[in-house]
Amino acid sequence: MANLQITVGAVVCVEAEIRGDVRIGTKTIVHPCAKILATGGPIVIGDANIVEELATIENKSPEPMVIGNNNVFEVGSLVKAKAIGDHNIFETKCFVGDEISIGNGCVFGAGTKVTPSQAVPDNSVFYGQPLKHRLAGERPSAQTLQIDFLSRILPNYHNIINPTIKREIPALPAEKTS
Amino acid sequence: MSHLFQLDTVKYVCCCGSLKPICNVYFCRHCLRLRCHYCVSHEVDSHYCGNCSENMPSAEAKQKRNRCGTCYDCPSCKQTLSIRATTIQVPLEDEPEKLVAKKLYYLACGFCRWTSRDAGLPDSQNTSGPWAEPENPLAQQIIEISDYFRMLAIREKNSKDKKFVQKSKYLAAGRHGVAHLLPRRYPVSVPEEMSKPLPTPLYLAPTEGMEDLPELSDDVYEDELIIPKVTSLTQRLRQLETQPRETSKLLPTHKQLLVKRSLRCRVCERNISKPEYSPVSIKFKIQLNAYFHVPQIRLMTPLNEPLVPGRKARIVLRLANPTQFPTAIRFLPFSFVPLQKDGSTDKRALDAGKFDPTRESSTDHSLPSHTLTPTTSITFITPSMTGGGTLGSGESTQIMKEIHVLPRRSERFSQNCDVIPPADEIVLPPRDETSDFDDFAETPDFNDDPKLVPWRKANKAAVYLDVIRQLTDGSEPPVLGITIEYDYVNTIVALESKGVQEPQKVRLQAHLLIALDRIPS
Repeated sequence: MANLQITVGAVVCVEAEIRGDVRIGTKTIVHPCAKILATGGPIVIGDANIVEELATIENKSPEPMVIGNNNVFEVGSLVKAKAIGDHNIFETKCFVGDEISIGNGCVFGAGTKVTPSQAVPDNSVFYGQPLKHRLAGERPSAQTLQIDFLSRILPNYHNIINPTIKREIPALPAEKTS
Repeated sequence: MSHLFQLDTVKYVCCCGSLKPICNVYFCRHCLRLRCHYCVSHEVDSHYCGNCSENMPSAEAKQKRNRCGTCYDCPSCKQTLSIRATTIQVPLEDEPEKLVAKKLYYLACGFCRWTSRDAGLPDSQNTSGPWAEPENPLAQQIIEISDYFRMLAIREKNSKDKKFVQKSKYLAAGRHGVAHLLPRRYPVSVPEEMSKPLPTPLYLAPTEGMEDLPELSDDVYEDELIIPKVTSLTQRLRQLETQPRETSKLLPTHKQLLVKRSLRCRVCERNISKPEYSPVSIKFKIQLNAYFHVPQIRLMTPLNEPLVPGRKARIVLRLANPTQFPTAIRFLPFSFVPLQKDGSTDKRALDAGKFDPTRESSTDHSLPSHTLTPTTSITFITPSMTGGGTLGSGESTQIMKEIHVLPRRSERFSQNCDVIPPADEIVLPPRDETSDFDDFAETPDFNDDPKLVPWRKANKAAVYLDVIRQLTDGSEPPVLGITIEYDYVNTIVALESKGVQEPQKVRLQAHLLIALDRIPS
C-alpha cells in the first residue's frame, strides 16, 4: 500500500494525480492536473517547488527519485530524471530522460528534449532546436514571491489536500483499470 | 498541416522561367505579366529597427553600420535582449547608516537565459546602458585600407577625363562605396602628383611565412575541453570584429536594422509593391501580388493511388477568382516554352499568336533571352510584328525591353502528366468579401455540367480534370503541367486615360505545375 506524505505548508490540489510513494516538502505547490507518478520507486520532493498544470514527474526505476528545493516544473513538462538538485527550471513542454541526473541551477528550455546518460553540470542551460547547451554564470533565482502568491490564492479556488490527515492512496495497478 | 496556398504543390511558372507558389509572384498590371522577385528591381525605402520601430535615414544607417543604437541582440542565440531591473540596497551618501533601494539594470535573453552579467558587464544605472562595445583590434588597419582605396578611387575619377583611360574595377568600388560621399574634400590632383605612386599601406604588404612555429602550451593538451564554454562558429561570426573563443567573452550586439522595400517592374519601371513609409504600418500603397489578380488554383483531391504511365486518373482542382470582375477559365495543355537563345522557338510562338488575331494571348513564355544575342532577336521580331499585326507597336517595344531587361532563370522541372482539357470554360463570379462569412449565401447558378463542376460557392468552384501520365519513366512523382487562360479586366488603362476609355478586358495565360501526389491541406 503506497502512501502520500504532505508536509504542513505545502499546497497540493485534490485534482492533481499522485500515485505511489510520494513525499512532498513544505511550501511546495502542486497545481491541479499535475501528475506525480511513483510507478517504480518513491518520489521525494523537497521544499518550495512549483509543479504546474499538466507537468509530469515520473519515477519508473526502483530507486527513490529525490528532488531538491526551489525547482519549477512548468506547464506540460515531462521529467523522469534520476535525481534533481536545487533551483532548476523545467520550461514548458520540455522532456528530460530517465538516465540523467541533474545538479543545481539548470534550465531546460521550452520544448527541449534532453536525454544524455551522464550527469549535467551545474548552471547548464539547454535551449533551442537543435539542442544547444551553454553554461550560465549564475543560477536562476528562487520563485519566492510566486509561491507566496499561489499558496494564498490557490486554496480560494481549489480543494486542497489536508496535510494533517494521513491518507492511503490506491496502489500502482490503478493504471490498468483506468 | 501544410500551407493554405500549397506552397509545394501548385507552382506558377514566371515569365523568366522560375517556379513559385502564387503568394511569391507578383503581377504587373502594366505589362500584364507575372513577375517573380528575380524580375523586379528591389529598392530600399527606409531603414528601421524591428524591435523599437524607430525610423532611421539611410545616411545615418550607413554610419551606424545598419544597426540600431538602442536595441541589442543576444550574442549567444540572436534573440532580442530585454532589459531587466534589480534593486539593491545602498547606503545614503550623507547618512551611511541608512539604506535606500536603488535600481540597477542589466540585459537578459528570455530564450537562452544569457545575461550581460555572464559577459562580466557591470549592471547599469540607466535603462539605456551604456553597455560595453566590442573593440575592433583591426580598426586602424581598416581605416588605412579604406583611405588607400578612396585615394585610388579619386585618382581614377580625376583621370576619367582622359580619353584613353580604361575602366577598371576600382571604379565599381567608388560607385557604391564611400568614395562618392567624400570626394570634394580632396583637392583635384595635379598631373605631377597623379603620376606619383601611392604609398602602399602597411597591411597590403605581403605576409611572410614563419620557419618555426611556437610550441603549443601545455594547457592545450592537458585541459579538458568543455564544449559549452567554447563559442560556436555562428556566435563567433556574429561578433565579427573580435571573434571570441570563449562564451564568457561574448558581448551584446546591436540589433540589425530592417528595411522597407519597394519593388519595381524591370520592364515598365513602374511600382509593383510600395509599402507605407511608417515602420509600424503593415499596409501597402501599392501591392500587386499575383494572388489579387491571377486565379488561384489549389489541388483539392490528389491521386489516391500511384499513376502508371499511360493510365488516366481524375483529380479535383479548386479555382478561385480574386478579382472584382467575372472571369472565364479555360484549361489548355501545358504550353510554357522556356526562354531559348536561338530564334526558332520565338518564331513558333509568334506564329501561334498570329492564328487568333482577336486573342491578346500572352507570349511571355516564348521570349528570347536577353543574353548573348539580343540584337539578332530584335531584328527577328520586328518584321514579324509588322506582318502579323497581332502585337501592337507598344507590345513589340515591351518584348524588346523584356529581352534586354529580364534575367533568364529556366528552373528545371519534370512535367510528366498531361491534362485532357475539358471543352467548356468555367465562369467564376467576382470576389465578394462578405460571402466568405455567409454560409447561406445563394450559390450562383451557371448551368454547369455536374460532370465538370461538382461544387461551387461564391467566387470559388471545383473542377474535375482527367489527367493522363506520359509514357516515360514511372518512378518520378507525377507532376501535371497545365496552362489556364482567363479573362483579366485591366482597370489601369481607364485610370491613366482619365476615364475616357473603358476598362480593357484581356485574355491572359498562366502556366502551372501541380504535384499530384501530395496531400492537400
